[in-house]
Amino acid sequence: MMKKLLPIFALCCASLAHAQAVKTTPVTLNFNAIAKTDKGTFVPVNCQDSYLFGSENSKATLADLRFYVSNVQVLTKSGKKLPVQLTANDFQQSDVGLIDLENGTDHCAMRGDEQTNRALTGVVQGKYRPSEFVGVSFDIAVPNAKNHSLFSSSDAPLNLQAMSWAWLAGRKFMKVELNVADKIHNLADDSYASLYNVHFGRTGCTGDVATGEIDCAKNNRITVNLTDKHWQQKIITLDLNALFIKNNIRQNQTAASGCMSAEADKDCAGVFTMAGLAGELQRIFYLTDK
Amino acid sequence: MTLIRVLLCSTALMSGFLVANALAKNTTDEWVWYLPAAFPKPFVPIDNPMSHAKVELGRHLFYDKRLSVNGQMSCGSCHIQSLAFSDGKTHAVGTTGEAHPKNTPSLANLVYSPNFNWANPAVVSLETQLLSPLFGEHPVELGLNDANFAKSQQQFAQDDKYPALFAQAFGRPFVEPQDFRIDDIAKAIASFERSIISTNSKYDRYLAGREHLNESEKRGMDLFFGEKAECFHCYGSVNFNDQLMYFDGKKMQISGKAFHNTGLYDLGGGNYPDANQGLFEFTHKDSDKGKFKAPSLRNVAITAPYNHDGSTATLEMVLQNYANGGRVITDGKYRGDGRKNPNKSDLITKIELTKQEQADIIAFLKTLTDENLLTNPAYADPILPK
Repeated sequence: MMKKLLPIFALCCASLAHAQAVKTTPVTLNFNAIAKTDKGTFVPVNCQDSYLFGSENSKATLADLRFYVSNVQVLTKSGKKLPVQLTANDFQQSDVGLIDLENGTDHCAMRGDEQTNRALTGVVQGKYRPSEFVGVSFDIAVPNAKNHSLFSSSDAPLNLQAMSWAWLAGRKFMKVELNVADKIHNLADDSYASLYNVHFGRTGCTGDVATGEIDCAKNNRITVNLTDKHWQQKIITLDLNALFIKNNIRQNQTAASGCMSAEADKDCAGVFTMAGLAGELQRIFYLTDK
Repeated sequence: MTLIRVLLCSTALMSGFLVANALAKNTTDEWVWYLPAAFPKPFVPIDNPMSHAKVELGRHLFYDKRLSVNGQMSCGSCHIQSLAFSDGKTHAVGTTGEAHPKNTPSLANLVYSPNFNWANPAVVSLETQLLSPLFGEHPVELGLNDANFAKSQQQFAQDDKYPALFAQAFGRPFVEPQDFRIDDIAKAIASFERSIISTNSKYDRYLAGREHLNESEKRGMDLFFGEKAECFHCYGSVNFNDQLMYFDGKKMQISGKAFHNTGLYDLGGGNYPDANQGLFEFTHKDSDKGKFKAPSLRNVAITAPYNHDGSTATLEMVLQNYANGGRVITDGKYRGDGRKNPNKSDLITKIELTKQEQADIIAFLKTLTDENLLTNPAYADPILPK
């Protein structure tokens, strides 16, 4: 069937015939993160400027901002979900990529690093016109099978200590850290801190000593579904204002400063709700115009 | 004359050959555990077999302050040999001054432990565990991270000893900074830690028929292993705890997987203080609140203060808590009746112990101190550049 059709295509449309020989369609996911300025505008974040965060509009700067993306799929017009195989490079393995939105300068110097990565690239098997993809979905996570490998012997981008979570023998899926200008009051012991953390990742983990396999009660995996036929011309935006909107970042109620996904940490309630980890849909990722 | 020269020559050759051979042998020589008969053979992960060269490298790394963000601390700063590799503090304090919520546990006989820390079922190998003190962020212990670890690697590459020590341990050249991988460092430190064995206490020598226990120690031993004090339920293994991992000649065996709530706190609903909820932090089960592993009682007399959070100052007080069936805290933010903690182990019930009986148990516990462990130069700081 194909063989019979090909010459006809070749006659009329050389480029399409060439495309059919490749049999994959490239896909790019562009990311950024925005925050609220003291003028009330929303701008892409950098490591230099201060922004307002949380329920009390508290002043803070970025300290770190990275997350893993996996299970990337595109939605076709016909309602099918097609897996995107990421292209292996310093920020991607076929099934997981790292978005790194800090560059280790200024206020990110302590926690961040120099490298940045604002896009994931991959391919869908088969040839499609861009207009056939009417949406994209992904998880903010490392696939379970790779999550518990040692960072020290993993390939990029799973080789970062900064994203490892040694005490749970896993990884932070998402790491957002703020330097809070006027300090954080830790109510549990009346101490003060300056770093407000959001670390999402698998928790409730137990390992099998004999096999080394690790199983976790909670996946804490943010699922993002974005439907928009122009999504490829847009940018997938992480709204940091939305992430922190239910948290007073100048107060820490229990456990670690901010939320490190601990079960009993009251400071997780707000960010979990906004990130869709408490049963509702996530409200922190959406598409914006470039 | 000629004959003598030939002989001299061959002797020189011979000794050169012997030295080279000994070096080669040292790296591949099978590690031998010297253990009393009662001790099972330790289980060692297949991907990190013991070797003298690795243990020696690990000893250097264990005491090397260049493995901290500010060059102020090493593993050995909190795990002090003369204190059975604990630190005598209520809470451990990291290299940047941050206090750890937990008390530093002893490292003796860690090779027999199927899990680590006070209650962490997620970390199942020593090679994984030690990444936490090295790289952990909450709390910061040694404070290494992606950036400053690269600096440590550079220092190692320029070090007088390390390129040779690493090469001998792993059988490949170590030249460039990136050759000194975290994996290698972890394997070497884990090997050294596994080599820290405590089997030569007065009690062990008594078992071997080489020493006598006095009357008080004997009465204490009978109480310890008897149904009145019931200590042995949780502390009855050859390592004086109840979780033992070992090698049966064919495969790894684990006896005991229990974690226990001993009624130290009840802040309502079985809660223990923040950041010290024990097994619950991993399993998220309310019934696991306040559950910790029973630490080995070997060398317990010199590892004060006690319990996961160092909240019990003396052995006498530990015993009192057990005898009372839990601990009552009458004021402060941790006020509560630990005896009524819903997760408290059934074994922790009120026991009537006379003053003499308590003193006898403590006298027995003191026979578990292994002076050899505290002074053995094989475990000591090799004196590195500071």
